[in-house]
Amino acid sequence: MIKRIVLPAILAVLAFGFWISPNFKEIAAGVAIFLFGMIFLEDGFRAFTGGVLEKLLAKTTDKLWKAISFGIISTTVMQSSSLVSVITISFLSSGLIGLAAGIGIIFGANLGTTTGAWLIAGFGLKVKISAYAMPMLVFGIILVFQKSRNLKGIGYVLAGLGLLFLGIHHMKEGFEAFRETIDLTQFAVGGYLGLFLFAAIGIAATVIMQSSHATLVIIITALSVGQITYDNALALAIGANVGTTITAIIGAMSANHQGKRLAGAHLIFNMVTGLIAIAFIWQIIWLVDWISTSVGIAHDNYTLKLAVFHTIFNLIGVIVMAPFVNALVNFLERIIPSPVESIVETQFLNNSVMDFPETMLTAVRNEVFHLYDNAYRIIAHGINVHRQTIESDVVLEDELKSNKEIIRENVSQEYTRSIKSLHSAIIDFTGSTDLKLNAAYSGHLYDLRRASQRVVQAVKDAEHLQKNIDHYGASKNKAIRNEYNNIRINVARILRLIQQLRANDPDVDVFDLDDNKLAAKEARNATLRNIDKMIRKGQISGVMATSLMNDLSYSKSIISSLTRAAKILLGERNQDLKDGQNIIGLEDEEIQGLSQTGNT
Amino acid sequence: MGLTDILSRLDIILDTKKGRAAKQVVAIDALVAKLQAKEAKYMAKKKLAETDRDQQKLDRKIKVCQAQIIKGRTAADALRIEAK
Repeated sequence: MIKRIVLPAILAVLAFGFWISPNFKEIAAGVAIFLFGMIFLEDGFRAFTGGVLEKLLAKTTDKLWKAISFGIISTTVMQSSSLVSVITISFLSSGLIGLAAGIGIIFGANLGTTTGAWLIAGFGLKVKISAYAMPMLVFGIILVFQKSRNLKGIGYVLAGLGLLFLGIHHMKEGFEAFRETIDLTQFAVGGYLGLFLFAAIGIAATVIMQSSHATLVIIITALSVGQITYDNALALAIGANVGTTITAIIGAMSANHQGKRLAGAHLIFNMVTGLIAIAFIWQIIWLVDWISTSVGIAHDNYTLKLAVFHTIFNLIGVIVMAPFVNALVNFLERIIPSPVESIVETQFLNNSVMDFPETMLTAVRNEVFHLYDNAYRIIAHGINVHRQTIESDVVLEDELKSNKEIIRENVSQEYTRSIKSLHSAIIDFTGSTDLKLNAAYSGHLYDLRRASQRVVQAVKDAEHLQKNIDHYGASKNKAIRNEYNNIRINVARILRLIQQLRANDPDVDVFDLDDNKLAAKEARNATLRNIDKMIRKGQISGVMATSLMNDLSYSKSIISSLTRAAKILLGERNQDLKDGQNIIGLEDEEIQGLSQTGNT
Repeated sequence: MGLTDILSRLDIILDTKKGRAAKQVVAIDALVAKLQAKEAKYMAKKKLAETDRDQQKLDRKIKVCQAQIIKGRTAADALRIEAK
């Protein structure tokens, strides 16, 4: 309802403004061009970063100061705290970084975004930047039409900067011409009333434009031509800072609980910073004057002093809030609780991770691990082994041969409930994102899809295996019981090895998967050689032998599927090392060959 | 540093076919070195193994390590020629 009223109202006000004032039209056009430039700039950086930014972000998780530094630098370079916020939310949603690191990046981004005011006040208003805008637009648009993703990205960035400059130029021209017809300072309001009023206007303007940069440009250009008072400009800047959180909140709507917590942290930080700035406004103004005089900024250079103010109050916010990051994390975790972990619903795949390839791969990888966790439980229970046994140090041979407990797990039902739907979700998600990726990322995604398929296959084989495991595992016939126990041991071994690899156990590495496969192969060969002997001795019947041979085949398939999935999921992430691992890893025929040779 | 060195470094940086091969050689050599250390560890353990089962297990592990090392070395040698 509100949406239906607000948009036509805004359009009507703008149309009326255009009709009565050509200068207002020029200012509004300047804002529109500036916002268009921001869109270009963000698109450019999305394409241009090609995973580099995300790789860097991933490394800023261990220390708060690193996260804050990253936020400052990345926002300074990209001149968009919104883009950094959205990327950070997607990182959190995919499980790549923790909430504390995310909050650090957001703190840094708030500080980084203040460089925009410095650039506009120090450079944008001093030189005729429209002269730079034209060549940038021309070069940018030429590059936008290139096939190379990187050149296209650079093109978008150049065109975006060109549009930003052009937008600033038009705003400046509009305000200068405006000065000749109307003096907006007559609407200035002093004292705390003015502070709150103009802060509210700053919030509203930023919420509507969804860019604190755009609001700041308007403030600085209006201030430069004396259309607003310095005090009111400071209040508007405080409001712009609070209003900018709306972008993070919108971005978090499609994110998971972690993304929502980060948006909450952003809102709290900017609100607290804004309140501090309002409460101590006179002290901060004094500090700004003192710093400005110290660095040689003229007493009446209000635009640069506004830039100093913007940096100071954000810096104060970071200094005040940084010691409370852990408390903030606890508070947000309490008010936005984690949803009850569902085994049937996806945990990491959501729209917020789709725009950034590295993040998306991490989310898919984590989701395949989620699928594997379900499969691990089903397969372990399917062979009547508790996960605690697998994860303990007990000798599997001894434990499994002595323990005859049957765990009542309906593998078939569990497959439908917690495997099939999750696998389908992974396939749907990866299918819809595949087109947006370059060849390298598509290859990784394809591998992860294959890993997911292998995990599913292993559960299906476990479903076939379960009936006879239950039946013969508890049989009074010692010969058949032993053989089925051997099958259980071999399946349990691969489950244990994968758990060890996941826990980064220093005693194992991915190459041990080949050794495990050879061990299983040798055990299977021994059983196959033994079957005829057991039949001849009357230890097992023909029916038992048939079941045993079929089930040996299912166990082989489980081990093979899980080995392949583990190599993809737990192998090296660095492409060269990953290729090396693939080259060195043994193929089935090579393992077959080794099983036929004698020992060293 | 001569011109050849600079060119070969540029090759790696620009990720040409030669550069790619050179990077893979480095990666495989690192992995082979780890496997050799692992093999040596198993050899040492084998000397201390008390049961037949432990002996057989270590024999198998050594056998796999050796096969992987041979594969790695062969691939690295072929890539070294490609990288020249």
